[in-house]
Amino acid sequence: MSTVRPTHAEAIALARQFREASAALRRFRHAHEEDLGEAREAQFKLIEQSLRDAARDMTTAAVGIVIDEGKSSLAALAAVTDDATAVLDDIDGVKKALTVATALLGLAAAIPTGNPKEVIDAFKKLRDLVPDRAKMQQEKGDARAAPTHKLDA
Amino acid sequence: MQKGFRLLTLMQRWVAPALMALALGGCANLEAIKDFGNLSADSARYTALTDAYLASTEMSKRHTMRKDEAQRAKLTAQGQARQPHGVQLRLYHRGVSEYMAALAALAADEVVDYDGQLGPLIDTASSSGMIGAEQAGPVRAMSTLLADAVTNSYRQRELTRLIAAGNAPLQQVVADMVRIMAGFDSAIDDEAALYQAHYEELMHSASKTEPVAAELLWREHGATLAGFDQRKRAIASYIQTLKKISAAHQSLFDQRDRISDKEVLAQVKRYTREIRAAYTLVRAAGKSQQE
Repeated sequence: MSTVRPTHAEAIALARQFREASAALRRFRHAHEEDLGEAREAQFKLIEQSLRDAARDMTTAAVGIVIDEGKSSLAALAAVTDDATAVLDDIDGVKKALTVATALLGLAAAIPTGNPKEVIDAFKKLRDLVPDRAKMQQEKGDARAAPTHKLDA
Repeated sequence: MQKGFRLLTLMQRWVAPALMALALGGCANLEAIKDFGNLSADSARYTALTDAYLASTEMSKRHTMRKDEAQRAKLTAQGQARQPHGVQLRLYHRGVSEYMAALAALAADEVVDYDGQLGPLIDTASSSGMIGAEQAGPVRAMSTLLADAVTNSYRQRELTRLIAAGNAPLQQVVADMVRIMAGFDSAIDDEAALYQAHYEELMHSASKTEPVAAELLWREHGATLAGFDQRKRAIASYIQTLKKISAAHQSLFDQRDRISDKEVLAQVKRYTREIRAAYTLVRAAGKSQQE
């Protein structure tokens, strides 16, 4: 037998109906307390509680249905945001590129002077701006899996 | 040096006016969109209602008898069933807030101080003889203008592209959040139903044998119901906040070819005021709940 899943709106409506049924049963029980007897009263209380439990289950199901249905939209929004972030990084990159260009020019201007201190200062400024490519490549290499067999001698 | 000087004269005579026109035509003050983006991001980051939903079944234990272990066990199990939703629900908050933050950043008109960047570059070019000292001033002025115009035109184009690509998924995600809020509202009704049942049982027995206890219960009843009402109003206000965000973005999408027009920006400002008003109510309700 296939399972029929309620829609979000149906689950919300069912939760409300279960709560109302529970409250109606409680009013009936209180109104006819003396006629029901202890055993029947206990049964009624159990049914009321079960209806409230079912209402909470329907509420949880209602939220879960939206989450299940919404996964692709969330992914699409995240993809668009990633594109925008890349654009913002490009704009930021222009600023950094200008700073690097300034440092390069500074070095280019210092070398003809022959002044060692000027050259060293200009080089240090440039080095601080440019990432250490050799170090980055080594870190990438370390991240790859080690070989599973030894090479023959 | 001579070649550089002739090139510079050419630039000053013909190119500078064109750059001026580009700069004045391309730059627009999109602060209204920036403010809308920032406020929407802030609103989307508000997770107190989600936290309350996830804690709802645990809070409901206050309205059960200690001896009623079966009911408390059921509430524990139902709370555990909701916990996996927590991760997903936070993705909704994060998805919308990050998108809106990116929108605000693209609409921002500050960010790069080109004069600060280009100035030292041109000074160095001048001191190393690449341009003459007397050309440094005009070159600096034109370069700053060009960098500013190019970046702002680029930025505005990308903002339009973002709005065009982002509108459909954003509208769906916000619509989903509104439906989720309806679920949170139902969870408050579940709590209230359990409380009411608990209260009526206690009153039913106490009113016969313990009139003082019954009186105290009755006095607390009004305040407790008012607390539930306040939480429901916070949810209603948050739904309004979400709907206004959705409407404002739809308006930007519909008029994306003229987002720098005064009328469009004025409309965005109106939406931002409405979002702020609705979100203020949400925060106020949350604050008084904690007090």
